[in-house]
Amino acid sequence: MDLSEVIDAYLVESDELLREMESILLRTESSLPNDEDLNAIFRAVHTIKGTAGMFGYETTVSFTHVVENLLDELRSHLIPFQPILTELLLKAKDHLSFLVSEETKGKIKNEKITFGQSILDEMKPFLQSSSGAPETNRENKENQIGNQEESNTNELKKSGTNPGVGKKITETTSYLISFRPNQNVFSQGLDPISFIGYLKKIGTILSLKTIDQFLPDPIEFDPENCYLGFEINFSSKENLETVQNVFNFIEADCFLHIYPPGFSVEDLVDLSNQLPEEEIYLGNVWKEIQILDDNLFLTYLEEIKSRKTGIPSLSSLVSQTNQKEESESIAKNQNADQIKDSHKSSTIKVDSKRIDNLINRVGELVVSCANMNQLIGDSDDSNLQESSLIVMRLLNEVREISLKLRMVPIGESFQKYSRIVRDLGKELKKDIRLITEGDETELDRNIVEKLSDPLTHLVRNACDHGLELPEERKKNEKDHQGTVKLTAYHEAGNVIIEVSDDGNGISKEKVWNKGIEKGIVFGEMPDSDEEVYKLLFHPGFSTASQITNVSGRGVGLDVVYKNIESLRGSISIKSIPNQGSRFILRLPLTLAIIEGFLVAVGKSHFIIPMEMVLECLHFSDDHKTDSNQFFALRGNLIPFLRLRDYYPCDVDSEQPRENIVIVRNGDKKAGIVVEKLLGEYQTVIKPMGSVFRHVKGVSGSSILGDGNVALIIDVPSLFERTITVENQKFYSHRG
Amino acid sequence: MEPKQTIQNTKEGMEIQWHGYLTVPFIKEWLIYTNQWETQKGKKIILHLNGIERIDSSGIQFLVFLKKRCQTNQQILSLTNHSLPVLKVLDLLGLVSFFGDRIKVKKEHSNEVEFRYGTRKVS
Repeated sequence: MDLSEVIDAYLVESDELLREMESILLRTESSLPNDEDLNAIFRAVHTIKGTAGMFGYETTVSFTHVVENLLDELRSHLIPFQPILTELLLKAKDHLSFLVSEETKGKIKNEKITFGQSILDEMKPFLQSSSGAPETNRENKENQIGNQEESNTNELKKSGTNPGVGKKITETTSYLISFRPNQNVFSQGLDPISFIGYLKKIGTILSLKTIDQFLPDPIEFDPENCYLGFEINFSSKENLETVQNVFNFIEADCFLHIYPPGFSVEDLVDLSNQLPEEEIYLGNVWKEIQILDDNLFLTYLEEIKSRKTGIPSLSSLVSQTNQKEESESIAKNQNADQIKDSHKSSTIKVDSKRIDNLINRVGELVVSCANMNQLIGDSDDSNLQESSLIVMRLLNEVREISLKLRMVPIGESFQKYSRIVRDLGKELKKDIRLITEGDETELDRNIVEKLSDPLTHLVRNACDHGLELPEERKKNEKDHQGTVKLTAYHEAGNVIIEVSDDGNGISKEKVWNKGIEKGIVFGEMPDSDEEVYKLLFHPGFSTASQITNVSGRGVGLDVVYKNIESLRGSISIKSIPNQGSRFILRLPLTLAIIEGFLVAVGKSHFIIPMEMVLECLHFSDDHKTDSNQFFALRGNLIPFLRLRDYYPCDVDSEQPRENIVIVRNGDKKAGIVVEKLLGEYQTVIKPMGSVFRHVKGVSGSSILGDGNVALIIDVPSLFERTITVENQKFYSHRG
Repeated sequence: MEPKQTIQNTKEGMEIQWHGYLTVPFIKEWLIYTNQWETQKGKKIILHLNGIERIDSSGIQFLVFLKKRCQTNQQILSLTNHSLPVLKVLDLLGLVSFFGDRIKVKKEHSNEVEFRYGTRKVS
């Protein structure tokens, strides 16, 4: 059996559960957990324990066992929830997530086990202090269960007083499980006992009989074969599917039959025909495990006899109608359960590589369709043109749907920062609260993953550099609790993520002086905030006077900048003294396909991302100003650049007529002067070869329908480059 | 864990102290030892199980096998000093009444085994 896939599923599931547990625990810091929260945490630990047990990960099981005990006591209100438990349970969660991932790789080192033990030791006082009371409680509970069972059997007996009518066996939630492992299960590495043991995790084994009828004579006995079978009277609130899932791994190597509650004597007779043991022996077994009482046992024998002789028994005739009604009501109940479950199973897990593959293929399809469209456009066949339009429309839809497959709400990844902020607050002795906004904003999964590091860095920075110590905040008449805020929202085809704090802001003077000190800049401080703050992204730049564990080593912001740049995004900083600072990340929605606007300069083609295009104009003399850097548009001066100045292109034979495409980048507008406007164009981004990695102003390339290559213009970086060039001119002029 | 048996012959029969794992790979070795039992017709065989550190389905099957074999050989097999792993499996599979031995549960183990079913003698 190939376990690697199953283990992967275990890892993913555990990771999800532990994350959920963490987010609940973090919530408990501000408000006490309610029953639902405690149940959810308990379920998480319990599920991990169960699965780990099936794989035989004993370190994980023994650790979770104690944690589970503590949680069980909490959720039964045997002990009150105390804030210190949050800390302890978070520690346990961290250790557990280590155990889960490490134990799948092999044996866990002793020191780690000792560490786990130390956490458990810390839990002991809570467990022991309550050991007196809960035990009695637990006993009571069990007694209650016992009483219930008894009363159920009493009911059975009552109903059995008229054996002809009462054929339905259980009205409780009791299952009958017939489990006969194949002879070769031991050689498959499967241990039937572990599956039975697992049953106890989802319910109560009311009674169990080990069938040893097929143990052979001493001479034939082969210890490597399994000869045992099991009949189990099992009570659980779980549905049939969950009970069946317990035996998932052994399903192929055993005879398994599970009757959900509400089976009849007839069902048992059917089952006895499928089992290797004799009917009467089985009847006795079922009697022994309290599936049948004396009267029902007689009915059972009668039924067997009638089947053999072919004469229907009286009881079966009478109960046929009853049975039909019952099975209908059971079906109804099961339907309701299924509807409940259907919501749960509405998501499926898919390997992200498969989705990437699909998107790549759709991308190829988009390119070839564009090619086909161009050819069809040249022909006069109107039918052909019409159907090509339909294909294009459908393709657009497919493209949008497949791109959405990779979209995930950013809230999930925001969650982990609450833990980081909490731990940092403790470490830095600051009281910090994290607020997230726009959790539902969707973003390409690939981008979300790559954002993790830069965001972590920015959040850490905000906590360490941004926020002041509580005393200082009090002096400045601020709330002693500092706030770090993560905000996400959509804007013009981009996703904006802001990391802000309400600290003391970034001192422009300090940054500029440091820049001079480092020899990166010289002269007077410019008015533009942006230019000054840009220095922060310089490698090795740090204004922190003290190096802490958290930050201040001068590595970081430059890496953040590079990471964001590699995602075709941009980053800007806003800061107000004594009110805080804001890091604004602007990112494309997706990396694969863009809506572009195709333009040409000479014979070369360029694509400008559609979401940045505001309008297109003929670049006439009316617009031109004396300056060669600005043009007038409806009374406003807008900076512009000529693509031809940046990318020398062949000149078309005829005199070019200039057009200007007005683009926006964030809240700024600018113009790009081109020669031909070719219209909207859907395109797949092909990454540039490594030779062109450092070329600024171009984010990728695309193959046009006619086979030509078009460069995709990276508007933010093109403008940035322009500003840098202008600045250099400016300074060299001044220098 | 290597299996180890210490056999002591007494007037009534033999007392055997078992150690190690009662799992598939080791049972064949146990089987060789148990052939010595054939000479003990009509006598009592006591198995001390406190040394059993691990037992799985095949192990418990082996104990069931021994019990049945002793019954046909008119020997009395009695299991004693059950270790916690053995107790847990006997409890889970409801085999306590099958073996019919007296069982002592240490106080610290009382939470780990329930004996909620299967202790009744089979009629």
